[in-house]
Amino acid sequence: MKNSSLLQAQNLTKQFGSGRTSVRAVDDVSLDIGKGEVVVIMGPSGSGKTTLLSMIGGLMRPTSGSIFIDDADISAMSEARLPGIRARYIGFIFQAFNLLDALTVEENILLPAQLAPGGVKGARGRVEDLLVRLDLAARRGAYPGTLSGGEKQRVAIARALINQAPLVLADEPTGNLDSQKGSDVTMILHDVARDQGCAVVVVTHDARIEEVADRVLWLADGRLRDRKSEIHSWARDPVCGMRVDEWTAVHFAEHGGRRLAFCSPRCLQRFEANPEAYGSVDAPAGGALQS
Amino acid sequence: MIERWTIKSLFKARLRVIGSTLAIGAAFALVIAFRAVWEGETRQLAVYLERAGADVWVMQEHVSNMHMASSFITEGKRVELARVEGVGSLAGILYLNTMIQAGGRQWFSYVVGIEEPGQVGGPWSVPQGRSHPSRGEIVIPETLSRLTGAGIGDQVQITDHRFTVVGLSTETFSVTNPVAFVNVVDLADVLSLSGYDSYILIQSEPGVAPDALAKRIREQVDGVQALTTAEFVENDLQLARQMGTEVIALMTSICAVLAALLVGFSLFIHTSHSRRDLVILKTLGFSNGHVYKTVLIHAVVLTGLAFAFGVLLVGVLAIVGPWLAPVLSLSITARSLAEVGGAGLAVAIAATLMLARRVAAVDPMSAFQ
Ligand SMILES: Nc1ncnc2c1ncn2[C@@H]1O[C@H](COP(=O)(O)OP(=O)(O)OP(=O)(O)O)[C@@H](O)[C@H]1O
Ligand SMILES: [Mg+2]
Repeated sequence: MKNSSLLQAQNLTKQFGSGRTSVRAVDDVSLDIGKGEVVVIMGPSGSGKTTLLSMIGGLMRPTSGSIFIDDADISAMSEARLPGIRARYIGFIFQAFNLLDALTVEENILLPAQLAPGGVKGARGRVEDLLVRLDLAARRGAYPGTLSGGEKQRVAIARALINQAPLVLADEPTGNLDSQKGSDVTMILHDVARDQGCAVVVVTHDARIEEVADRVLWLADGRLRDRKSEIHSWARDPVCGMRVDEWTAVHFAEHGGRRLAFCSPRCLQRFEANPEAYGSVDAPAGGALQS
Repeated sequence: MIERWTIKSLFKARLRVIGSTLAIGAAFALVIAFRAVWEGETRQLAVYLERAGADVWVMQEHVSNMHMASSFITEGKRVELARVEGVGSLAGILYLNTMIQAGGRQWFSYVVGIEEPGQVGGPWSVPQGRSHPSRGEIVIPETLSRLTGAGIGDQVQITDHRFTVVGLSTETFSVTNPVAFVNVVDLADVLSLSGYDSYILIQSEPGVAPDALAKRIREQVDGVQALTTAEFVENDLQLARQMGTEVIALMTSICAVLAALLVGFSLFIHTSHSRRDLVILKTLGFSNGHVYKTVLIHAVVLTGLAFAFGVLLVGVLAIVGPWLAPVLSLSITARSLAEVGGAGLAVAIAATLMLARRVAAVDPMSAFQ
């Protein structure tokens, strides 16, 4: 199953602006994603991860190159056809959850079903299944404003899955979650690929997701690089104890003359609220734990 | 489901919806009230013709109105008319469109000269005083008396002739055309003529259809026009409506534009607040068409609520109006509501179009921020 190809991107380039101020956010990237595959895209901030993800999700057009989903070139499609492609093939998961506050959990999940062949009616069975699987059954009538971050992200995942899209794209899905919730979401994404057979592409700084990935792509300055040639510098998040790669981490704090890396803004916040509580972390400066 | 979002997101912002409804509703109320006043006044114009008691009105040839018209036929025509088959009884009136000066104010009025007590064409409801004016006497509308302070026993003036108020009639007042009754001899003096009628009011014999009788009169009597009361009324209403059409159209347009701007502004605020939601909808695969539809639904719901509120407001006005402004006759017609409602729908669509580009420009990429 994992061998048959779902999406092929060829020589994708995205250039913002022109002249001296132009930025090549994505530079000649080719990649092939198979059905049921979990692909993690990592790379430093500004390396073009979001840009790449939104191009393969049909939200942004490449400056050049092509993207084939099920043998249709979405980069050559008219603007009017792209929403249909997104509805049918793609489920998005965002760092900011992006739920509709006016709708309940169940309604949020059902919303995209309106665009699927069976409609909302045809999705009733699937929504029950997802509510149970993502442990949201008790919260089905709740509004997003009353949910925890982890619950919100589970709703967003259910929404991405309701139309049985073959491709789920997630940009920093654990970025706003604390360590435990982040782990839950990671496991869910992994299970989704295994159980539902859909491909999952995750952009992340979170090393735990890397552990469940079939493949890790490394993006730097808009180009895909060989992951192996890159250096890891593993450190421990002093709050949750998670392993963090200092090269890719984005949340840091200076404390006691040392630079500490954190897995998420939540851990950073907790640390900053009371640094002394985590003072005994005995990772050598410069980040050891070389793996 | 997107429809559910559309409605729920609108009503989530309850204060905004209420504010918009009040503002847009006020614009609708304004135009509905304006039209109701105008329609009421116009209807009032024909009340005298309807209530005078005639089946057929005979007037000078080529005349077909009472409003803004003058008509004179020689008294000799009465004899000719009486001979026409089917004519039961007839009575003449003199008629002048002129100023009445009363209590220091001038009031543009219909003045009707009548001959005999209780004749057709005289006042039909006179709760105070006498209904028949003798020489030097006048019956004026009760409301006019209230407005000018000229009560029974007081003097009013028409040109340089003085009259004593002897009766106060009801159902004969409108702001533009109150009807006053004087003795026909006095009105002939005012007009400096004698031996003429303005209109001859005919009651047909039992079983004779007014339109057949009018036709027969036109055929058999030279130099006169004969119209059934229904035709005569219709002619006057048409004339009055023609005269007011431009004003009404202008007023309706101004209010419609005002309402469109208010609806547009409300939608603008609402879509600005829902911008993030629109971004999400687009990432989920909803097209611009879907999103336009949500904006259109917002527009129609807001306009509908505002229209209902406007109608309610005018309904309340119609109930308390007689106390606040007894001079005005209000008439809220289904047609006028349908027209304002139609304008409202156009307003909703126009407001949606105003926002179309803005909505199309919402970039789903901002979902990543
Ligand atoms: N709309 C835009 N206009 C101009 N430049 C842009 C635009 N979007 C992204 N860029 C630039 O393109 C580059 C890649 O941005 P992108 O958001 O894809 O990075 P990223 O890898 O997702 O970063 P992060 O990890 O911080 O989210 C950056 O230099 C960014 O400033
Ligand atoms: Mg990004």
